[in-house]
Amino acid sequence: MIRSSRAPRRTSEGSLPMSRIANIIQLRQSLKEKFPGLRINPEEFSPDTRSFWQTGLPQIDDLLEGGLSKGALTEIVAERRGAGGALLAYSLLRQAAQAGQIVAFVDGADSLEVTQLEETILSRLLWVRCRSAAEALKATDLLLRDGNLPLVLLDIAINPEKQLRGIPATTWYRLQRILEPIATVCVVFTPRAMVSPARDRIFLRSHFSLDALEQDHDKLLAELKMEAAETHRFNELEASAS
Amino acid sequence: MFAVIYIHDFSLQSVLRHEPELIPKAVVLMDPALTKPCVIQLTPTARACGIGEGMSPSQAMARCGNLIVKTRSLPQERAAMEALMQTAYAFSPHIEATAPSICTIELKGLGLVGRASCPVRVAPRADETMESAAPQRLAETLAPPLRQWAAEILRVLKQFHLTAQIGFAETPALALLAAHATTPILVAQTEKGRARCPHRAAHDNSIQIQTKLEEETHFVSALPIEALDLPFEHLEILRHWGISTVGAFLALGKDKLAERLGPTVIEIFNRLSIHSIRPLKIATPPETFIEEIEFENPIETLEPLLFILRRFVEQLSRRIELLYLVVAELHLKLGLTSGASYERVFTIPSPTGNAETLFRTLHTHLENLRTDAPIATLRLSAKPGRPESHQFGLFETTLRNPNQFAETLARLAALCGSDRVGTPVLEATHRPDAFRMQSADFSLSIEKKRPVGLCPVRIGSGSSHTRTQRKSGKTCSTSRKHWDYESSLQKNPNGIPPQSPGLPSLRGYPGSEVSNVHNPETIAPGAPRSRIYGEQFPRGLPLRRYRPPSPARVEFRERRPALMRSAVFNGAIAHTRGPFFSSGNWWENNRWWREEWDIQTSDGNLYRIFRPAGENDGYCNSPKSGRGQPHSKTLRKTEAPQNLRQVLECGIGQTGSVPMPLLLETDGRTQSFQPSPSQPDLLQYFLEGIYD
Repeated sequence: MIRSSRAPRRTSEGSLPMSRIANIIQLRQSLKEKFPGLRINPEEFSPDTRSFWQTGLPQIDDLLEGGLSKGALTEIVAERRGAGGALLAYSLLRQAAQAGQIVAFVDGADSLEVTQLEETILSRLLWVRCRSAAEALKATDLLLRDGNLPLVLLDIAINPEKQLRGIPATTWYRLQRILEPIATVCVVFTPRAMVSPARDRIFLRSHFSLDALEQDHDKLLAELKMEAAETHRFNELEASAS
Repeated sequence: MFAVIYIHDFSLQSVLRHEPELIPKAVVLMDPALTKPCVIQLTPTARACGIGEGMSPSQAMARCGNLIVKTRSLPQERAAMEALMQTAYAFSPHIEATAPSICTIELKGLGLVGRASCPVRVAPRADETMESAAPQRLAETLAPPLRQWAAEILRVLKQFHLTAQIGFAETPALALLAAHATTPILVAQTEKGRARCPHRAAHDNSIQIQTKLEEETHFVSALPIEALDLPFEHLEILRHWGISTVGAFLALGKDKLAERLGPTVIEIFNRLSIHSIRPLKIATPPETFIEEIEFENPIETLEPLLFILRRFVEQLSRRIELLYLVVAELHLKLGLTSGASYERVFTIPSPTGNAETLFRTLHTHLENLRTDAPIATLRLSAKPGRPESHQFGLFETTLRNPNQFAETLARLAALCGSDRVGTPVLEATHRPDAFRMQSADFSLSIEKKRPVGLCPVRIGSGSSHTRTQRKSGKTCSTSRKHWDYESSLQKNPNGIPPQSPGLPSLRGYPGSEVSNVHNPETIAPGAPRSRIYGEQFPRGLPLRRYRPPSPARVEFRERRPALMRSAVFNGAIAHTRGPFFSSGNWWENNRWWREEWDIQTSDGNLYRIFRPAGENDGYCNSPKSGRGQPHSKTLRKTEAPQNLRQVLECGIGQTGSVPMPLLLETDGRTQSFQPSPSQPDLLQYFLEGIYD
């Protein structure tokens, strides 16, 4: 498991220093006074209360202990092309179509190959063809605020790096806040880890060759290699603080 | 018994209906159609300033500095009359559009007449008689149904910002006179009515309504002479004679008055008679729900337009609500000062009467609207419909809030473009990347939306034969054609097997053996279409397309791509698969041919490159050349090895953003290109996408 670089530094006894604990408690009280509706207690973020959206892929459902989290961001990082990012996206679309759900695919680079999708998928697909990553994020914001769709896929995996660098980090936090009260699953496909508040981050490590062009999707999906990264979670911080 | 709803100062109220905040102010109404514009109607505040009918605008403004001048609007009067009729129809089916601002209702069959005319008998106390009973107690005994009925009508009209008066009487003419009285509700009782109800009720001092129940004769006599609707010159004559009330008018006698004033007097006498009950011309309210306005000053910004639109939406939804219906469609028309107009139809996904939801639909669209000229007129019409009610499938998920989703779609269309948001629909062709976008509609289930008949066969399926042939690189579409068709018929004379290989017009890559959907006549009779047009299982890594395809210079060595230079990748090509030929629409003007390769570059990425092939080599791939003959337009002169670096370094700037050349036609200048195997070929290709 790849540990997040933001994991707090622990003392030899495994807990945070008392000064830091006091600061955290004071900060929490200040936030609660200023923002009454803000959830700041670890119990409110308990992962045990999560609900999941099953992908149908054992390597994901088992890896994430249930599936994709509802009401949270999930980041799928493919640091190189040919790792199976599009394959995984198509698999998610098929799974949603089988469940009879409507899916929104926000295409950051207008790269979706629709001719490789079945009619049952296309009929339940809302395709948003964006010209840039910024446009894709605005479209995702609108779709998440709408709250009608159970699954929203944001694909910015092949957008130029220049566009990705222009995305403010606060954008992801805003999307996370929009997601929290609703049961929508939002999956972001990126070329590098960039979604800070993502509850789950999966790295695709596959490397397909030309032979993969003649294999069935099921076989290719079975050959997908992925790793889950532990993201920054409040409950872990508080558990270590207490 | 009849009831008449009368809206006083109808023209002025019609204009102020969408600006109710102006009613307490000094407002006068001018009629631009008159040769000499003058005040025709005015608010009580303006009248208190000393302004009267017939004054010129300058005279009126001289008396009141804060005077607001409005012009008469026939479309708004029409809309107000429609609202009046639709309101009346909600209370009685027997209505008549007597005149603008007047609606006559027959109370027959409503169950109000008997109860109205016969108030409950109140037992007098021991110390009082019937005549000395307190008026209050008598007022309390006045039948509530009629009063409540009238009060409800006034309340509904108040929602449309129309102040009305209602008069009840035995005849329509008397009811009209009663309605012209100053009280909101006036019930004129006749002797017959009093015979049925011996008690006379006094004033009802309720806060909301002041209802009078008067002796009809006394009531008519006390009416002012202006209530008779006489011509202006006759009114002047009567005033000159000192006649100011209807009672004095009637006392002169019908014959004498007819001699002096003409036959119109006879009609008035007949109208005032309780024995002349004219039949009503029963009318049904119009089924149009239109609100329109002509702006005094053209509108250039959005805020004032939205202000008026909100009022329109509220009025229309209330009018439609009277019919127990909801709004299913809105039609917006903006008239510009340039003479042009902008029209747009808004179909409400889930018909609703919620004015806020309807307004948001308009607001979202108008936010991104730009017109060439200011807006002079506004017209909004609504189409009624029944509330949506249908049963969804048990295992089917649908939108929780279709109207909210429609608004989101509108915002997405404004953000990305209307042609870039929606559901993709594949075209019935094998041309690569052939699809069209249609507006997203998830209101129906998949089963209901599944098209009947032909559906394009999925590309991506394959048979082992074709893959074997592809691996050997000895594919020849022409020979495969003969093999595909004739051999398959021999093997399966009853029909074409589901995985029959394709024909030259079909795509030969990647292993897409599909039946000939373009030539149904070649299909064996009796062949089950479901096997032919059925969906195939997906194969291969999905492609991430570059739209538009990225130009690339590809150097061929030993008849295979060896080097590539493009905006996406520059370097050596490690592995290749191909070439794969495909073509289509050869019987039409938009025929196309393609030569495709699957390549793996030195960095491990998998790409698909293509170029349009020539017509001569479209079906036959020469095994010697290993590729098709290049089209004349893509022909590149063979460079000598010493000049190869120069050619590679010249880059692809020459081509720039060249669109995907799928529609190139061959011409007589196509040259047969047979380079020597030792010299590398540099050809213009296009990067179609990257496999991921």
